Amino acid sequence: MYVEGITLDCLTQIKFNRSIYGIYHLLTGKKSIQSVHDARIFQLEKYYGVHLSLTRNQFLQIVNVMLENGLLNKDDGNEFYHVTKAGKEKLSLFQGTTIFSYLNGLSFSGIERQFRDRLYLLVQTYSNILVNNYSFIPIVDSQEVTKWVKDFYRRHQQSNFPDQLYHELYQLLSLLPKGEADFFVDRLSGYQYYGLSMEQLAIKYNLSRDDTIIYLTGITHVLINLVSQKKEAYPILSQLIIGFDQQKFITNTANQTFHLLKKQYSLEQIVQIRNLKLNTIYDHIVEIALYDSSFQIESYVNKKEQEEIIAAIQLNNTFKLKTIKESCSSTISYFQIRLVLTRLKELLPEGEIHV
Amino acid sequence: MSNTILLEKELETYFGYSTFRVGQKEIISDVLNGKNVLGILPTGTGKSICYQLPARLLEGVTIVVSPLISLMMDQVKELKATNFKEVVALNSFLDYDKRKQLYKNLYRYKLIYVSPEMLQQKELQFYLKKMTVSLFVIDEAHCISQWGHEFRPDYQKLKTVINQIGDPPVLALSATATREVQDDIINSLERPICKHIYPMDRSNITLSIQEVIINEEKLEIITNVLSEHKVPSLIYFSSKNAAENVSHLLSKRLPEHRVAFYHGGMEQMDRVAIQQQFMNDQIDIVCCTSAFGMGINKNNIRFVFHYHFPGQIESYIQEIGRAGRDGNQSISVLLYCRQDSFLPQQMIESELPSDGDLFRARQLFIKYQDEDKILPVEFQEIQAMFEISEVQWRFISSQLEKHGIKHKNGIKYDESKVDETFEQIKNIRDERLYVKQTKLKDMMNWIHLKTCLREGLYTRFQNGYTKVEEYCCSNCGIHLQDFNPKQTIPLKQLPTWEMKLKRLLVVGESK
Ligand SMILES: Nc1ncnc2c1ncn2[C@@H]1O[C@H](COP(=O)(O)OP(=O)(O)O)[C@@H](O)[C@H]1O
Ligand SMILES: [Zn+2]
Repeated sequence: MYVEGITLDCLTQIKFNRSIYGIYHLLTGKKSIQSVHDARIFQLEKYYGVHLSLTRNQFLQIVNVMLENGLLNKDDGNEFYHVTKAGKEKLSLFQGTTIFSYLNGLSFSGIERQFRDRLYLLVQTYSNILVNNYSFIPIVDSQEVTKWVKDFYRRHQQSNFPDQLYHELYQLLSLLPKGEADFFVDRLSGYQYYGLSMEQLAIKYNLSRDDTIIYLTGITHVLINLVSQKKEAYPILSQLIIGFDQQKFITNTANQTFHLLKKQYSLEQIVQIRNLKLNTIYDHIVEIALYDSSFQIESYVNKKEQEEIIAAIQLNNTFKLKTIKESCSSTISYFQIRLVLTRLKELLPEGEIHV
Repeated sequence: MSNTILLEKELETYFGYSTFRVGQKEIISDVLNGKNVLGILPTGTGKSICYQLPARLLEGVTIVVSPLISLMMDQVKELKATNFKEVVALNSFLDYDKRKQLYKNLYRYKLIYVSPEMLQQKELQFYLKKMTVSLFVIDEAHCISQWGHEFRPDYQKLKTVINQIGDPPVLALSATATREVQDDIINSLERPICKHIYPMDRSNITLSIQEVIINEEKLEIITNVLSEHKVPSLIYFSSKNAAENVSHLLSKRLPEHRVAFYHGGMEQMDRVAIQQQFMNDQIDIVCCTSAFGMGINKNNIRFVFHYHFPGQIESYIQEIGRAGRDGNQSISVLLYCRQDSFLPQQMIESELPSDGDLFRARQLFIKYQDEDKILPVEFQEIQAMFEISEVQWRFISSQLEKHGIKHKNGIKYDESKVDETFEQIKNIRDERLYVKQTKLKDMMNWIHLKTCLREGLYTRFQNGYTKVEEYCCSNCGIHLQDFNPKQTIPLKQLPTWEMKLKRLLVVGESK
């Protein structure tokens, strides 16, 4: 249901602009500018990285089953898919679910795992400490998370602490529909008690394996959202997402380029200093522009060039780089087109973004 | 006398056990006296203590060679849980920087687990040489012998490593070593060794074999037996799919039981969850592959079923050995269907390279040599070039090294020798194939035995065995009606998430 809904939504938005693999890369949160860029221009940010473990074959399998079930069809000899009437109905069903409204992939896919893992180990740790049991097999097996929880415990040894954690979780989960809170709590482990595996959750809640993952992802996203909007109400839980706000850029290397730019180095100088190709630096700049809406693109593509590119997009009704390029004068570069695409929301009049 | 009292006190201090189990004290005393020891103790009786206690008592560091990374990880986790912090497992998954860092700080540890492959690294040897190694432990020592189950060629190079790092005393441990294998171990280590061989037969485990015509019958038998008993039970399968499928079927047929599956293809967190749920009696039945059970210390498993039987008797003994560790009556049921013998046969073939594989490997080597290139280190890259499994590749690769053709992934190649070498590799492959097939045949013969199964199973490992009056084996005759194990009392199911959360985090609510 969820995976299908998401795929249908993506196909509806992307139309024939990208191959089906564009959707796959989006869902698995591929760390490429292209995927982030796609998420932005097709307004599919919420689905970025919502199913990290999906394999290519599993994804094709899902698409094939949707074809068989008549949610999609496909022209002969054509690699593109159409959403059928039945598909549209399914999509609107999906759009009526809470999970649809919860998903917020581009903002949270980087932090989601960390939030959950820290929470799982924190609950398990305090549950054991509550009964003075200091040795147990940790449910999360990651040095990073273990270290974080240890540090946390060192700073918070008050005996009423488990109680506080309980109250925060209680307050937070009360905001969810009962079924979702049940699901989330079923995965928690504690003293002599271990939470359900994803497989067990799938059976208990009658979901497919993929939908179980997306269901958990959606719930996690809404929890992160609720906590970060009201940090003062969640003194403990808000600490689970610390260390994330600063992490603006997807890649470290783009960040380095950004620092050099801020020091007023020219692109040529940066190429020299970093010993990288000019095209790589271009990639970094597009990445910076995507993440930092205050970043000025005018020095790379002036107002007049911007207008020409926008006109080409509207004329051809496409986001395909190649088509746009062919429709512009030859002095306009791919780099410039990509930069303009990062600013579509501001540059295009409201309501004209859909192609 | 005072010495022994002291040892018991140390056991109590470090592990919280008041007495030693059979064999432990004898082995530990010899180890502490600097002797080389071969210890054969049945599965589940506590081999690990035999080096974990000395590791805490001896000056210097104890090195443990262990064939399975997951096993090492589990042990390290458990030791850390008992507050023994100076332990570490070295494995090749660590990236270069982390590994370098770790090597430099090795002197801080008292117990180091390492895979036999890693021990071959000159870099690691360099650091180990600088430390005082006071004990060198070879866990699952039967891997030295090609007649042991799970032969690992790198185990045969251990003697050289031991010499390299200052010739510390050696403790070789195994649960399943026939007399032949024991001799192989001793010969391969080339040093005087005190033997401590303890009988491996478990008189509290009933051996039952039931032949069926079709798989559906197996399911019926399991359902019938378990519907009478709600007790911790394992069901072994030879494939992940079968384990999953039967798990789904059983949970429908046994709605009162909590059934789950476990295999190596699951995510880490889910594996821990299932293992620990089973430990805590949150699950009654686990459908699993041989990946389950390593490091599982549940002492009240009452039934071990084999939906598929393993390719050798040693694996079988190890798997049924997970039952009845508390000493109470337990039952192993092997369900046999004629078609089943193809499965281990296939497994054997998939573990060794075929003639075709060898031919293509040969082409590859020649090509790399001609182009003056270095063979990739990563197995994934090899696999991208020709379809081969990791075990198959490991076999070819170690054989080539042995013949001096391959040197740490660089190829030293003498054209006249290639054909000869590959011919030899083929012979060795055939020899391994023969060993494995012989073992499979042994297993099959045992299954078809008409006389006492207990006698047939254990006398190949030891002189004699403990006779059992009641509940011996299906050939001597057993009556399951009288089998009356303690039933699991399920944890109270809480109806709401609010109550579940309370149980986790509020005093007085947990149990
Ligand atoms: N002297 C002892 N008293 C009580 N329990 C022990 C003793 N020695 C070992 N054990 C327990 O027996 C279990 C099996 O030990 P382990 O070393 O894993 O067995 P194996 O021989 O299969 O390697 C463990 O839970 C261990 O803690
Ligand atoms: Zn008998």
